[in-house]
Amino acid sequence: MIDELSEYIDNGQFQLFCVDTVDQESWSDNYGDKFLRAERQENYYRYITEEVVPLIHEHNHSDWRPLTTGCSMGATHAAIVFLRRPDLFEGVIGFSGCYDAHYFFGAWMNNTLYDNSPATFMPNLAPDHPYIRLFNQRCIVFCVGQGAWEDEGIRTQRILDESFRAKGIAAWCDFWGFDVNHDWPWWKKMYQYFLPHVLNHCRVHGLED
Amino acid sequence: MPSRYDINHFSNHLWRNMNIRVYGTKGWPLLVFPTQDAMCDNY
Repeated sequence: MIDELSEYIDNGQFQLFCVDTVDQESWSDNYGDKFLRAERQENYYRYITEEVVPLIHEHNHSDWRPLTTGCSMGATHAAIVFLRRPDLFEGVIGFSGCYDAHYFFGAWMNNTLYDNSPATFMPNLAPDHPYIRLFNQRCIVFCVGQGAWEDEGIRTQRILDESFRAKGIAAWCDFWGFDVNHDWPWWKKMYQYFLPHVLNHCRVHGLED
Repeated sequence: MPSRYDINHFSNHLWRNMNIRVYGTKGWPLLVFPTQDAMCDNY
């Protein structure tokens, strides 16, 4: 994927900060204690928002709010941190994510997991919540194909799409064709398609060519 | 291949060393999450 984005990086338009995950102790730990798995994910969320974001500002030498992005599980993380903290992030670019924690945890739920399940908390966002104004100042892009292995991505992106529409949040939720599978070649095409739109948002907010 | 470097730091929230791989030297910051179970060098 870096090769796909190298033009944007070499031109000084985007600086990428790729992070580690602890998914094997949280989302992927199918036989682990669910309470501890949810706690681990919450610690990861705090790690990103309280430790990584300040490091990004330090190394980027700017006060620009980072955009979050990822594909598949990466999109899930990108959505969680952005939708919980639009004051910290400038936007989200999520491709083929699953945004419902029930997919990973079954019927189990507690307050911590709720906070990490965008398809659960977004429909309950109060219509007068101050985040709605912030969301409308940000750049929100979600895309999913309708081909192989995209069932949960389609279902949960649709929940987000409906929530955004119901609350008057301007978000670009795109559903690509029935030949578009959950795989890297399509995510590369998605980045090439959506990044000019994202770049325009960044220019409006201070990025110089 | 764009220029790159790694940041290795101890996370107080996760209580372990974590890595961040940085590509490029300037531009709008893009926080990139890898796919499931992957690490910062797998993107």
